[in-house]
Amino acid sequence: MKAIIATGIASLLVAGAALGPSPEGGSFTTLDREAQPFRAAFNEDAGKVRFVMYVSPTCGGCLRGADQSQKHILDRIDSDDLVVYVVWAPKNGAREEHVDRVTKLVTDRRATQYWDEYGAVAAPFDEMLSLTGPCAGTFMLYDGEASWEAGAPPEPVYWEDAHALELGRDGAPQFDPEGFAEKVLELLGG
Amino acid sequence: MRERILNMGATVGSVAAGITSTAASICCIGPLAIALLGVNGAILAAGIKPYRPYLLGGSLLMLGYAFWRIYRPRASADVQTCSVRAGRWSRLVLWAAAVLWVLAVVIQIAADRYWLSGIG
Repeated sequence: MKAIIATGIASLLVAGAALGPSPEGGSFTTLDREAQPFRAAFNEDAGKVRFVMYVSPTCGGCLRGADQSQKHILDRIDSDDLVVYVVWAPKNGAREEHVDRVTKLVTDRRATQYWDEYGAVAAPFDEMLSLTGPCAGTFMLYDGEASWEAGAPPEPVYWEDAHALELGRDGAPQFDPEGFAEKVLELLGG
Repeated sequence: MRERILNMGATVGSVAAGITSTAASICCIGPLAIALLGVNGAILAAGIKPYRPYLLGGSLLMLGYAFWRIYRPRASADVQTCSVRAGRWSRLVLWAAAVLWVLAVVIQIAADRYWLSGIG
């Protein structure tokens, strides 16, 4: 009896570890106060569809969104006309030490990952998208024409929010990776 | 034997539901979530988070059933049934599950009121 109970509890506790992401990991670059080198990369990739994940490394919903993006969007769409930026934001109590292990969630060759040390990206995104609550968790698409000229990043042509329902944010629909993949394909032209 | 299996099932079910509810409640509470659940655990917990009300309701029912199984009045000797007394471990685990359930509710309320409603 005791052994069965202990086994049940232990199984639940290790379930997360058993269903994990690939051990291959990503590296990340720390952004400066001018959001460089993210801003430069964004502008250099003009002409391509740009997929920006604005996520917190300490938020379950953000991590789930990043994981789903890899599995349901990036694994499905192999186009070289798509580039991906993952911006890990200092939100929800996150610090740089939390970033390393979560970069392993997005392993796509087209993805570049950043740590927004000074909130140079987080603050303008929060204001632009009217994000309330402690988490980031937005997934944004830019077409080939978008250019980041001013201080704040440009407005996305389409975005979804991993916390729309949970936090009652009504600026964008709840993140749905399958539907989002369709939007990516639409922007890629088929 | 059947009696023991039912008691065990109700108790284990209560514990599992209690742990799941608690994990779902803490999935987004900052670094604490990652420290307690790990990256994969936090992702799983975020996935079940929308079902928290059903988890809490279901686990409450299971807890009620488990308490009833373990603490219900014993059959009297004149009906010639062999009552099986629930073991100390069953009672201990059951009370732990009850504490977990209360913890899940408290965390849920505190997170909604003081954490998730904050401006990031």
